[in-house]
Amino acid sequence: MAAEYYRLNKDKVGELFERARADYDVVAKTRDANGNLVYGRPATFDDVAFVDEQPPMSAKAFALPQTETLVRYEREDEKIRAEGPEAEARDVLLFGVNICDAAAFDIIDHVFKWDYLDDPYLGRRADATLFALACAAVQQDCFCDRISYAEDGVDTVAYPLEGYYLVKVQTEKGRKLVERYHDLFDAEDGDAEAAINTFREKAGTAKKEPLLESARAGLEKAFEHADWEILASTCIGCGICTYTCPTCHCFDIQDEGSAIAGRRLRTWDHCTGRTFTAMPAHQPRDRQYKRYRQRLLHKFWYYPERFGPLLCTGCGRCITYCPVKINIKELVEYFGGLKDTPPGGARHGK
Amino acid sequence: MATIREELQAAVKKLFDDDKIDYFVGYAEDYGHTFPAILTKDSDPSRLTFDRKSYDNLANFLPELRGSRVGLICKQCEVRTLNVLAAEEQVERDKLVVVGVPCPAMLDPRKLTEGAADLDSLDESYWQEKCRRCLERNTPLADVFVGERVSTPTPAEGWPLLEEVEKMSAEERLAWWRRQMSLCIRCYACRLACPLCYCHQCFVEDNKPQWIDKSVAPENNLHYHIIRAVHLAGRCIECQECSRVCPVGIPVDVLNNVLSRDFAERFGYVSGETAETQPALTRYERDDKEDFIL
Repeated sequence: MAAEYYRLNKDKVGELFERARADYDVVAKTRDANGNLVYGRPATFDDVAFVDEQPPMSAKAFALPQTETLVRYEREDEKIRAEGPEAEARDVLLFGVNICDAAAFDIIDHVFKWDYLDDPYLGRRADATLFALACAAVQQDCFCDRISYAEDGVDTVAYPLEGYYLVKVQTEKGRKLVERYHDLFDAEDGDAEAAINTFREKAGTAKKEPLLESARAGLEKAFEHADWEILASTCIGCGICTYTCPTCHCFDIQDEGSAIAGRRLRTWDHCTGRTFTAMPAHQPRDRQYKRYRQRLLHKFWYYPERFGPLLCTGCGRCITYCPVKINIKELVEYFGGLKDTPPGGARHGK
Repeated sequence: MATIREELQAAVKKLFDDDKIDYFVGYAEDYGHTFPAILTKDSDPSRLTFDRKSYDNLANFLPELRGSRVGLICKQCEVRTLNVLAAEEQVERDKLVVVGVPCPAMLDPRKLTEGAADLDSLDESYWQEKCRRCLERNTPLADVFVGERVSTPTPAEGWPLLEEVEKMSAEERLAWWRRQMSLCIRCYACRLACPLCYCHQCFVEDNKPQWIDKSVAPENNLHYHIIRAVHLAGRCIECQECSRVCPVGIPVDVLNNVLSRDFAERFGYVSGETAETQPALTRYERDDKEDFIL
């Protein structure tokens, strides 16, 4: 559909949240026990953090939970009873989600509807409406300005302008949301796209050359580059980069329980770990730097080769939360031939 | 006068030129962060640095480089780690070159706000908790020392967060731990950032038998953290890397602190205190208290 533009007064956001709770399972940013920002289910608008700051964990768990039951089984005498996962009852509204989190769903949809239709994921995805809040300033390590991912699958985006939110509606789901609460929205008469462009220039989120897509040709020649070992061997192999990532989607299937009763579940898994794929076969990457290289090349070469978009929205969490501060953007630029100096200057074989 | 940075870079260059080491493990600085860097003789040492954001416990990289001659920057945290690793026969001291530094106390990244002006001048309120308890700011054991020696303030007594947790009633405390454990995402960064968690096969990865369920749930998460803490009993040197790296801010080290304090109070034992310190659980003294067994 052609985009539509509305105005939402800043003092109407609370009312929108409260009324949406009657129709949707509303997920919004709130604070957890340690004061971290998280996507959760705050009960009132007072507990909502309607801010552009990124929570440590992305929003992907609402389509791909970290732990998900696929089937439960129970044996009674000779009979085995098995039940699939319970269907979730209500439509989810992701309220105030960051654009980098919201746009990630379109990117990973490709893999979940590729050769096998992943019903649990696709079901939750189809039921989710995205109400994104645009960032007024870039965050610590993010680089969305360097990746040209599509945002037109994000149902609505609210741009915080002077005195009001300019709401851009991009999909039918977004239009349904606005129609439901139409009395809260006013028509936008001005040149909305010009206002959005100005806003993004000021926020620092307008796209800048060279985009990381252009590193691909260089990366395709860099698999055997001698510097991987020196630059990626500080990786400790934890899963923080992948677990906080809005686009990393690898999972493991596990059984819990006994022969009498139990469940089969899937949990997140990650290619940077020592035991990744060790259960069905073996971990083919025998050194840590090779595991890190796999993650980078999967995002910036293999995935776009197969599906088109980069497997990255530039949120920067994998840099911010990396215990050893490995910088994926810098490494893509270096191995992709966009810059000559490696991060930290620790160049091998100068 | 040469800065510590220049002295460090010159010292590292000399170690490679004199063919004393195969690898150097230090810190580099770039894109607003200080992070660990592993160098070989062909590497450019010009971004090596040592500052108040040199957080990582570099001894964590030693088991991986075992067999090679390695130089590394050692703060007090690394020194105590080395002592434990050497006592457990995980490193060969004669293959290590310890580069000593005057440690200015590391800053707590959670207390640093965007654009904090002069990192060197930040006072105790910005320090990491461990730095208030530091026994010696100038690397003991140093083979090479760079920079000007500093004085070590009297180590602070007590374990503030642990004491706060202990003031809670049993119910409150359980609820507090449940809340913390509900945040855990089981990335195992606490284990992987721990220089003393070096097992090739960790119990969490076994599946025959499977000691621990893989699903992320508070009781499974707590199970993991408690077993890890017990595996570190009398070994943990309180570098607090487990808590620093936690992406959701769980104060993991509180569990280890309980055990460290018990070892200190019952046996006057500080893990990795000197190169001669033997692991607590492998030694026996006739006057060890046995009041909790007999």
